[in-house]
Amino acid sequence: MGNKPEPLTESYFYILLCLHEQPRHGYGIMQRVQELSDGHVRIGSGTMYGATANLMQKGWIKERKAEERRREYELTDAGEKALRDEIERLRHLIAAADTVTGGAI
Amino acid sequence: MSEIRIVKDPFRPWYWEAERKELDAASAEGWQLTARTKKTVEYEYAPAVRYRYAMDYRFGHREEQYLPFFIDAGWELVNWQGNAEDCFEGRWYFFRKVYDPELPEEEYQIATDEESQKAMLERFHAGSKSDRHGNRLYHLGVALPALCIWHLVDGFSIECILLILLTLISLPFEYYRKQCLFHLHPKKPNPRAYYRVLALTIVFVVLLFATSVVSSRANDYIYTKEASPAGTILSFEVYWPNLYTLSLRAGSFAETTVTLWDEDGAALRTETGTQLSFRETMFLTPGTYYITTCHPANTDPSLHRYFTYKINVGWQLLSNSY
Repeated sequence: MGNKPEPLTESYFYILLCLHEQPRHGYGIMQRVQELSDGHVRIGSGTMYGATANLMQKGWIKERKAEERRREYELTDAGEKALRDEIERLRHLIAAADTVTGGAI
Repeated sequence: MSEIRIVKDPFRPWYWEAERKELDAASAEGWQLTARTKKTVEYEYAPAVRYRYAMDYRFGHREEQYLPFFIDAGWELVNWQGNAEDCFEGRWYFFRKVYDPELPEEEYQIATDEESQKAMLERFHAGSKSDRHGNRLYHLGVALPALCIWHLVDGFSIECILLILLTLISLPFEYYRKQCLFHLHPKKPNPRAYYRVLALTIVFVVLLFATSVVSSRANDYIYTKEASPAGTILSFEVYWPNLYTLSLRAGSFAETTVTLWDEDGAALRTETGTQLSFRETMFLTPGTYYITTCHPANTDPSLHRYFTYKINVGWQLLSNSY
């Protein structure tokens, strides 16, 4: 397997991206994902809850002490790295595609 | 006063998609879900509004963190069914959202990617498995005190086998249920139910052993005194359960040979000496046994003093007939 990171799912990628911008609470992430993807990606509440639980378990995001009852999440260093790795991976894919198609597609 | 409709025998939990569709259809006809129990679905007639429903299955989660994800997104919690605190089975949540035809279909879905849909299935299977094993364990919990009482009232050999079987069966149940409860949320399990039932099971198993020992001692113990110039057998005890302990003390100032014979005349144990005392654990099958005492030089069996003991089928009762 090596150290090659696994590709992120679309939901995870968007969640990490939103939290890279600023710490947000769950619904804030859901709204921002919708904006960023021009409404193409919508994350349901169940998916969002499960994703935050999984990402926290991976150590990519953590809860922030919020004054409200609602919990805010922020990116950890490991999460930042996972996001960077994924962006790098996507850049490589695009670069490979451009090499083959000459940017025609 | 609004009209109420109660539907009995609703969908089984594994048909949650079918149930969700039925709730949506009922809402379109004006019947809005107000409560869902294990065996009933309750609707109220309110045709002015139309809802879309979503169901989610959870266990071992923290509700105060879970619900805001839904409430913020415009979902209303109608009802939950099941029990997450004592999580043998998880909890089904029934959410609803006012239907707006302008909004895309994804707006009414709570699991929007393949991974979370798969996770829901996994949760459901793990929860159902946990529920099944939990129920079996509860039945075991009912069976154990009954066995305890049985022990005290009447000793019977089959209970020993039953006890071993039940213990053996309960161990894998325990293991799998633990797997179920801890598998999905390894860092934040909800193990209260698990430890409570485990403690209960241990208490009953201990009680069962205790009662079996008490009942067997009460029935089996026999103490025999017989004065004899050739030796005195002071005690011959057989204890249940497991192996029999032959505890034999023969008192005589003269040299004496004490022999334990089985029904076929085979000597199982022979000791010679004065003030004999030996204690040995050995397996004695039900049947008749003889103990003879004589002077070592006395080879005429007719002059031997003998004692007969019978161990009955239940190996509970030991009687003598000397």
